[in-house]
Amino acid sequence: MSILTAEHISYIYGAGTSFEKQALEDVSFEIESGEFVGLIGHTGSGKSTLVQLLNGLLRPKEGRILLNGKDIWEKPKKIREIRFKVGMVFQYPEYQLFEETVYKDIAYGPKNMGLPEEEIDRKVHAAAEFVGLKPELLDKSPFELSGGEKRRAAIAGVIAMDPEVLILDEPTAGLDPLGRDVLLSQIKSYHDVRKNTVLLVSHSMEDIARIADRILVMDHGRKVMFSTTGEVFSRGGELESIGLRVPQITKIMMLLREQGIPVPANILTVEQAFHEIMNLCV
Amino acid sequence: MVRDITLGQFMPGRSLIHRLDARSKILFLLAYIVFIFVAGNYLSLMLITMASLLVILLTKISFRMYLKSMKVILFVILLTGILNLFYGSGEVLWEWWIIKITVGGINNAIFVTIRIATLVLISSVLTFTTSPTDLTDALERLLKPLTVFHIRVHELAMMMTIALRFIPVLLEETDKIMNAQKARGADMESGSIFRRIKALIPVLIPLFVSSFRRANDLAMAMECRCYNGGKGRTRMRIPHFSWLDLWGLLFSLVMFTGVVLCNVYFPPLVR
Repeated sequence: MSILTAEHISYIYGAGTSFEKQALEDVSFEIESGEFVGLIGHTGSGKSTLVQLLNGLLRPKEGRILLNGKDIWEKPKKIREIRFKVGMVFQYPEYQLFEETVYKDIAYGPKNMGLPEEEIDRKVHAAAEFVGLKPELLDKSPFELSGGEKRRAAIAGVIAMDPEVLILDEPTAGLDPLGRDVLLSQIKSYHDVRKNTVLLVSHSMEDIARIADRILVMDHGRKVMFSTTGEVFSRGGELESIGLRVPQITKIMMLLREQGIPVPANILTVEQAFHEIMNLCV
Repeated sequence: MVRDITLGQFMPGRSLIHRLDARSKILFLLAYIVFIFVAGNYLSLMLITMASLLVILLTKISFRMYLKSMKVILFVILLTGILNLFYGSGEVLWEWWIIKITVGGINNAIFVTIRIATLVLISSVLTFTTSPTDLTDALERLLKPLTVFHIRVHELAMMMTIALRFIPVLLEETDKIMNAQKARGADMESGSIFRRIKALIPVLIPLFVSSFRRANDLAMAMECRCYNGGKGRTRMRIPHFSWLDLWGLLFSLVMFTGVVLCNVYFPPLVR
C-alpha cells in the first residue's frame, strides 16, 4: 500500500511579487510503505521544496499530498501531527541543537508529541543507540560534542519521534569518509529493523546506489524519473544531460561492456563489480 | 515567513539621485529634515513637501515602494495626528465633556501629519538609493573629524557594515532553524503570549550559537588578511563630488530660501 502520495503538486515562491519563482511543477508519485527511496537532482531542482511539502512545512499551491490515503492539509490545525509522522532531518541538522543536555535535546520531539515520561525515556535511548551515540554522552551538553557526534544527536532527535516516514536531507554532507559510511549503514539498519519508509536526499550517487530501492530524479521542478535503482542508473546519458551522473563503478562496468567484456549491465556497487570480475577470472 | 521583511531596502538604479555622492545625500537629508521643521505655515510646508516629492520623482522608484515604507509607521503618524487634534487654541468648533476641538487643533493635526509623512518619505530616498556599503563609507568620511576626540570612527563604520551585511544571512538562518524545530513539533503559532515566547527558545539559542560561530570565522578571516583597523587602509573606490552634487545644492538652497521667505512674509499657523 502506498504510504505517501503526491498528486499534481506545484509550488511557487513569492507568488504575486516580482521575485516569483516556480519551484515545483505538476509532480506526482507514490511511495510504498517500507520502501527506501533516494531523491536526486542538481542544486535548485526542487528537492528541498519537495521534502518540505511532504511534511507540511510548506503548503502546495496546487495538488494534494496524501499520507496513508488522507490529505495532510485536510485539517490545517492538525498539521503538527503530520510532522510527527513524517520526520524530517534537515541539512546540517547539528545547528538546531539547543538544550542543556543531549538527552533533553533528543527528547524535545517526543515531548512535543505529549508522550508519557517512561516512553520518552525508552525512545531517546533507542534513538541514541540507532545512531551509535554512546550512553555516557547523553548527559553532556550538545555543544561539547564533536561535529560527527552532534550530527548523530540531531538525527536521533528526529528518529526518537518514531516517524512512519523518515526524510533525510543530505545527512552525510561534510562528514569524513568513514563517518559517511558508518552513518549510512546505521540509517540502513534503522530502516531494516523498524521497517518504516525512508526518503534520502543525496548528491552522492555512490551512496544512493548502495542503499536505495527506488530513485526519484528531479530536474527544474519536474519529476524526470521514478524507478528502481538499477533502471535509473542504466540511463546514464539522460542523467548526464540534467547535470547528474551514474556511480563511477557503474560507468566503468558500462565501458567494459562496450569493450566486449561480458559483465552484466547495471552494476551499482564496488562489491558487485568485484564479484563479477572475479567470476570472469575464474 | 521571516524572509519577507525588507530591511536592506536599497534599490539599485542609475537615476540622478542614485548618482549623487552618498555624503551629499546624507547632508541634504539632514538639511531637509531641519527645514521641514523650520516651515511654519502651510505655504512653506507645501514648498518643502513639493521639493521632497520632486526628489522622489527623480529617483525613478515606483511610488508604491515609498507607500510601503510609510505603512510601517502609519500607526505612529495617525496617532500623533489624532492626539494633536485635541491640542490647540483659537475658536472652539466642537465640544463634548473635556474634549474640545479648535481651529488650532485641526491645523496642528494636519500640519504634524504632513510633516511626519514628508520626513519618512525623504528619509526613504536615502536608504532606497544608496547601497549600505556606500552609506557606511560616507558616514565614516563625514565623521572623520571626530577622530580628534579619540572616537574610533573607522571601527564603528566597520561594525555597522558587518552588522548590515549579516542581517539577510541571519534571517535566512532563522528561517532554517524555525523549520527544523517545527519539524520536531515546535508550536509557534498558537497558545498564550507566554507560551509563544517560551517556544522561541529552541530558535534563539541555536541562532545565538551560530552568530558567535560566524563572528569567530569572520574575525579569523579578517586577521588572515592582516586587517588591523583603519590606519593606513586605502579604498578601491574613492567617492568624488560631481557637478550633480552642486546642482543638488543649488536646488536645495533655492528651496530652503523659499521656505524662509514664506515664513517671513506670510502669517504663522494658528495653533
